[in-house]
Formats: sequence, structure tokens, C-alpha cells
Amino acid sequence: MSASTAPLLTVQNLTVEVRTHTGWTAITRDVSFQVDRGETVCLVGESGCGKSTTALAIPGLLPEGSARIANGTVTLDGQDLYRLSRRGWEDIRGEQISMIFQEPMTSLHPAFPVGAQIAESLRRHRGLSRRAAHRRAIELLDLVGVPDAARRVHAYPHEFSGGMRQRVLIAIALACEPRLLVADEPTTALDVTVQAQILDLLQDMRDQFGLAILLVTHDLGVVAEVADRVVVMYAGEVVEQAPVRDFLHHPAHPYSQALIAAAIPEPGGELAWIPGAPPLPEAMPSGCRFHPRCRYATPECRQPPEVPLRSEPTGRTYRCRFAPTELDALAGRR
Amino acid sequence: MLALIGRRLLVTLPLLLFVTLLVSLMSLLVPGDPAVQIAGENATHEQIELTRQRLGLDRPWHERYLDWLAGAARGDLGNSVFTNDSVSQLLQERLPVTLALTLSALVFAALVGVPAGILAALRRNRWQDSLIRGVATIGIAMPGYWLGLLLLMVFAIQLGLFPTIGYTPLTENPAAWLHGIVLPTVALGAPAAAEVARQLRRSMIDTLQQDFVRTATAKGLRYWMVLGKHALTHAANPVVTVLATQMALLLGAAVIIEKVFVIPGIGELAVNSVINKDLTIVQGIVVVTTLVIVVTNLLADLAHAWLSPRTR
Amino acid sequence: MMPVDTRKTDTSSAPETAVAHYRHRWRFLRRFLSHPGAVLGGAFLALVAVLAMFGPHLAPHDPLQNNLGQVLQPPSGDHWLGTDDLGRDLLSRLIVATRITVQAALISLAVGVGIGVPLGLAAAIMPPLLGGLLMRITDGIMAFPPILLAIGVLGALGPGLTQAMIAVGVVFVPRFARLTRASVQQVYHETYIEASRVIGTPLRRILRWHVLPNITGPLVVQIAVTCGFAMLAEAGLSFLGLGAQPPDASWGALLGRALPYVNTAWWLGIAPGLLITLTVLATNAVADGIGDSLGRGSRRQK
Repeated sequence: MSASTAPLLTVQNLTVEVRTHTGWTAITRDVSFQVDRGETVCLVGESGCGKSTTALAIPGLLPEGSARIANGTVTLDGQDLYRLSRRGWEDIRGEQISMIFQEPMTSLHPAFPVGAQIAESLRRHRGLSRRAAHRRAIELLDLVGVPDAARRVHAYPHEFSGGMRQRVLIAIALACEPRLLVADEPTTALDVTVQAQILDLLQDMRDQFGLAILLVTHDLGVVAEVADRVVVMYAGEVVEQAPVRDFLHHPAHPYSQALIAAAIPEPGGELAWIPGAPPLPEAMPSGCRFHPRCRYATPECRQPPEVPLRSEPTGRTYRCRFAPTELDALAGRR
Repeated sequence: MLALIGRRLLVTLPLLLFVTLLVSLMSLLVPGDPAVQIAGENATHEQIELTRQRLGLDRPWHERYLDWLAGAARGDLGNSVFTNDSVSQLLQERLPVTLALTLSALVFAALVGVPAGILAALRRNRWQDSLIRGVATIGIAMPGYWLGLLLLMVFAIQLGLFPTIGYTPLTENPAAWLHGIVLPTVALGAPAAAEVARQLRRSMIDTLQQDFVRTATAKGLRYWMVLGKHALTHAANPVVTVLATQMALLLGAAVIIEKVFVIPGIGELAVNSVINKDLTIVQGIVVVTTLVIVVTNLLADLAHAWLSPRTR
Repeated sequence: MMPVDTRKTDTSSAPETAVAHYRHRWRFLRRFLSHPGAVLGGAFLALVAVLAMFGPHLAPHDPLQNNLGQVLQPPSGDHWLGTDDLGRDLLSRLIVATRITVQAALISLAVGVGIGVPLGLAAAIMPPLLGGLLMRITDGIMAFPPILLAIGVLGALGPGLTQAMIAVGVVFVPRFARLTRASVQQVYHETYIEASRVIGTPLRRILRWHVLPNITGPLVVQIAVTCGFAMLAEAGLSFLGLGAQPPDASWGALLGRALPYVNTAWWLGIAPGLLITLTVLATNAVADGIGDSLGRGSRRQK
């Protein structure tokens, strides 16, 4: 990362609270990471770790009334997004930051043709005429790989399969050439073969538009395929952040190690698995949040205070009381 | 779309046949004897017989029905058993009045109920929502004619803002008609508005949680655009059904409101036809009401098809 | 070895058997009592029931006693709600009218359920084509304006309270028939019922032990919901003079009699309408409470 290019997106100490029957509870805590221009960052973790919440916070799509930013900032190109007025947000969304979601089947309005839904974005942000927007919509459909685009532009969402709908949603998201695309598990609800196609498409788009992508996923295969950098979350915190190769070959945090071990089988052996379940926000373990499930846990890990982030000169950060070398030593002792 | 209309029309004819047949059959169940009633209390046996013959009541039922049917096909709905007035004529005079009242009540229900429902949905669980829901709950529990009575008492009699009785036909003087129709419209439309508000609130709350609304917001569309174009068009679906159902209810309730405000619609006709067991009038009213309902449902179906292309 | 799936199994679609109901009654009562609106409504309805049962004994004056010297008097110490056009004490008339109003509503519901439920049951069991046809006919009837339908029926039966209530009951028949048919169909075509039939279980048994428990929930809710409408319908017909005939009166009839005097004795119109409104509010609140307390599958068709 060269010093002259400032990061595109900076998330700093983001703490999101949700309203439960007992009041406001934090489900993410002090989440910090950044995304550079044209970079693909994967946000990884188990269900419930807070990655989707963090992703939703970036374009300001947290449900009002049931979630709020308790602390921290989200900055795009130096601009603090949460200082924006409603109109300011409306200008940013779709134009600077776009988002696609996990459920393509229900994310399109059932009563408007897909072309109109794409054109809507173009007319809103680029002021195109109806005709021009329509033409551009056909081009975009073609670009995202919808066959027979000139005819399909008039079709309704229910005439498309899940994979095709996701392509349409990508077309909508990229119509105004945003600088950042936030993708929340865009392939999870799709067939495996379609998953690969969508990922390829995203990479093509990235190459064509110079798009930065923040991809939320729990699938390490996706990470291996598209990520430049990886941010690992657990129990609402960032536990590791590293370039993808470092992450895959020399994971620093025990959780990262366990994730990788669970995804990639030992030679001639079974898949490892992580015992237990992630903690509930109301019942966080003391000290390190991961210690109940950690293979290296020592009594020290159980003690408060909470574990701070440590950083290495390579730019990697991780949240553990022990450095990787120390962990190796611990493993050796057993 | 044309296929829909065609299919509907095809069903309407047998429907009308069936319905009028039913009503006509009821004449066999009628305990009283219209001839006796018309001839009078002190009529002799011969006089009653004469009356019966004059009215054609001595002929077999199916003959009378077929005769009536033949006439109806030509537009002549027979004559009142009691007064011998042409039923078609009576309906022509009175039905438009009732329809005008019913339609204005429907418009009122939409104009008041829709914004109320939207507001309640947007300010969910806050005081606006509670207020609207509270008022709506009372609105559907209150008899419309009681509301009419109260409105009459306060606004017409006490405050003198509106006329108490006297109806000016729309064609004669639109301004005067409007002035006179305000209170009856509110009385008739209030329960309907309450139901519309409740339904739209529910529908809107549900729609606002849908994924496609989130997509619209994520696109950066203006707030009003998301609300009006994306959310409302979807939430309106069940409301169209409610309005259509309300139309039928309103048509019935209008009959009662007409009594409160002395409006010369079919209400009076209907009530008198019961008291006098005037079957031809009842048949006539049933025919036109069925037609109105069929047209209303057809319009509702068309609206549905326009709002949600999947059903086209 | 995969982590165990600890999600609870979803039993919400399993039909009830009669035995399980006894356990549910307790839970239902507890849930119902936690709804303040429903409880209040229930209390009010209990009051109405008392008035209905003991009305004549509670009335301060004889409701049928004409007193032509005291015609159209405003509320006073002697006559809390004033007197009507024949000098009769309005409060007494109102109290006595309670029984008639309540009876009327119950009759119409009985007619609706008594005809509608068997009809729906038959429509569910008979071949689908016939059943479907039957349902379309009932749908047609349901689309008709209820008041006009009632007036139409009264056209044959003539005016009178019982006749009016039968007419209103007829209006309810389609609703109950639809509900019954839908509930029965939910159960009847389940595989275990077919199995039951195959081994020769008499239809009676199947109906009683499997089908009936499945409909009682939604049926009770529908009855509670229709109650309010029954009252309004009766009141409407009586208001028009087609229901309760003088000198008998229901609340609706009393309201109707107040109409000519809206100018002079306006107080006559307040109490009957208020009573009707409050009672309908109470029945709706109770209906909501029942619907919520019965939980899944019985939610009131809002």
C-alpha cells in the first residue's frame, strides 16, 4: 500500500447496537478496517459474528429504530458518512457506494420490469432521459451476462431464475459506476455452479470499472478466489486482518487457523471442526472472547482485560495474547 | 385484460338469472298474501279475488317469473305489486342518488383512510399510530347512522353549518348537492375509512420490511420515491380488495343513512318493499345491486392486474 | 463430524388431537388475561349479560308504561335518561332492550353457525368439483351487500325481530361455511386421515376426534368477530323499523325512534348509540384477545 493513495473506505472503531427486549446491546465492537481503491476485501466469519451488520452500516442501511451506531465512524474518501443529511445519503447510495444482498429472489420489485428498475438508478443519479436510460439498461444487462438482453429488458423479475436475478441486481448496483460495492453473501443462496459464475462476473466488473469490493462471506473458497485482503470477525470484533496469502498460509489468530483447518482437509485426514458455538451478545466470555473454543487457551486468556489488537510490520493485525510463534510453542508443549 | 372482462360478462348473465330466480322463489315462501294487503282490511272475498287476478297473482309462479324475465330482457323490470309504478322508472329515479352517495363515501374513505394508514405505518408505535389505530377501532364499532345522528345534531342543528333535510340533485345544483351530501358522506364513509386505514397500515408495515424496498433505498432513490412508487404500489394491493368489499357494505349501509338524512334513494324503496311484500321491487333492487357489485369487482380485478403483473 | 443442528423442530403444522386441548386451555386462559383490552371488554360484556338476564328487575320504571303527561322530558332525577315520545322512561326501556338485543345477536349467530358449519363440512368432504361449485355460490352471496341481503330475505319473511335475525344469520352462513371448509380441508386430506379411513374408521369418529378439534379454534375466533357485526346488523334493521316491532325494542330500534326528535329531544339518541358502540368495541376487543391467545393457526383474519 503506497503512501500516496489514501484508502477509499475507512471504518474506524465501529460499534453497532441493536434493540433487544432488555435494551440496547452492542453486536459489534470497535470494528476497524479499510478498503483501498480497486481492492477486494473479504469480511469473513461465522453466522452472527456481526459481519452483515457491519456491511449494512457502510451504506447506512441499518434498520432505523432497531439498530444504531453507538460509536465509531465510516469514512468514504475522507468524508464522515454519518454526518450526512438524508439527502446526502441518497446521493451517495447507488452512485458512490452500492450494495447487493443475499436474497436475489426477493430483492427486486415484483411489479416493474427489470429494465425499468435498472433505468431508475440511471435516471436518478445521471439524469438520463427515459430512452437513453433504457438503452444503457440493455447494455448493462448484456454486460452482466443476461442473454437476449434487448428482449429480457422488458421482462418481470418472476420470469428470471435466482442467478439471473442476482445478475440484474449487480447491473443495478453498478449502473452508475460506484467506487465501492458492498456485497453481503451474494452467492450463498445460489447453486454452486451459479456461484462460480457470479464470482467471475464480480471480478470482471472489478477489472472493468476499477471497483473496490467489500465482500461478506463465510466461505473460505470465495476468499481464496477473489480476496486481496481478509478481515476476520468473531463475536462482533475484528480478530485478524491480513493480505489473503498471509491469511491462508500463516494465519495468526487461532480462530483463523481453525476456520482454515475446517475448510481444507489435512492430507489423508478428516475436516477439523470447531467445538461450541459463538457467544451471544448478552453472554460474552471474560477476557478473550474466543477462549472457550480455542485449542491454545491458557488461564491467562480467561482473565480480563479484553484482548487488544496487535500489529505486525507486514501490516497484519490480530487480536490474541500470543504471537504466532508463541502459539507454535504452546502447541509444541502439548 | 380483455379476456378478464369477457369472462366476467359471461358469468354475469347466469348469475343474474340465478339471483332473480332465488328472489322469485322466495315469493312461494312468503307467509302473507299481498292481495289481501292491497285489497284492504275490509275487503270481501270477491274483492280479494279480483285484486289477485288484477295483479296476476293467480297465475302459476313459473309463468310469472318467465314473464318478468322477458320484460327484464327488454329493460322493463315489471311493476310494483303495491303501487303499480314501473320498477324501472322508480329505480331510474332513485338508484343514481344512492350511487352518488355511496361513491362519495368511498372516495371519502380512500382520501381519509389512505393517508392515515400510511402515517400510522411510518410512525409505528408512536403517538400518531396509537391515535389513528384508536380512532379506527372506534370507527368500525360505531354504527354509521349513529354517527350520522350525532353529526346532524352538532353540525346541522346546533351549528347550522349544513342543511338538516332537503336534498338537491347533483344535476340541478352541484354546489348545493355537495353541501347537503357532506354529513351523510362522512357518516357513511367513516367506518369504511377506518377499515381502509387499518388495512393499509398493516399492508404498509409488511411491505416496508420487504427486501425490494431495501434495494430501492440502496439505489439512492429519494425517500418519497421509495415510499410512493415502490412501497405504496405494493401495499395498495390488499387495499384495493378492501375498497371493493367496502363498496358492497357501503351500498347496504347507505340505505340506513338515507333514512337519517332523508335522502330519496333506494333505501326508502327497499324498506317499503319489505313492509308491503312488494316482490317486484325487491327483484329489481336485487338485479341492479348485483350489477353494481359485478362491475365493482371487475374494476377491482383490473386494478389488481395493473398493480401486480404476475396475475395478468 | 458436523456440529449438531439444535434448532427446534417445527410442529406448527401438526393438527391437534382432542387430548392435547385440555393442556392448552390453561395456557389460553393465562394468555387471554394478559390482554388488558380483552379483559376490559370481557368485563363490559359480563355487565351486558347481567342486564340482559335481569333487566326487567333492574329497571327503575315500567318500560311499557305510557305517561302522556311526561312526554319527551330531558334527563332529570326521576328519569336519568329522559322520557320518549310516549312518556316512557328511556333508561328502563334501554335496560329491558338489552335482553332483546343480545338474544337477537345470538340467534343470528346460531343460524349462521348452524347452517354454515355443516354446509362447509359437506363442501369439504364431497368431491372437489361439487364442493368448489358450492363455495363459488357462497362467495357470490358473500359479495352481496349484507344489509340488502337481509332486507331481501325479510322481503320474503316480513318484518319482525326473529325474521330479521334469521336474515342476518343467512348473511353469515357463507363466512362460516368457508371457514369450516378451509379448516376441514387442512386436516381431511392429510395422509394419516386417509390411513384412518382405509382401515375402516367410521367417518363419525374421524370427524369427532380429528376434524372437529381443528376447526374449533378458528371457529371460536370467527364467532367472536362476527358478534360485533351481528349487533350492528340487528341495530341497523331495527333502526329501519324492520326488526324489533313496537312495543318491543332493541337498542337499534330505540335509536330509530329517536330520529324524528333529533331537533327537540336530542338526548334520546345518545344512549342507545353509545351502548351499541361500546358493546361492539367490547366484543371486538375480546375477539382480538381470543385470537391472540389461541396462537398459531387461529389468528383472526385481519
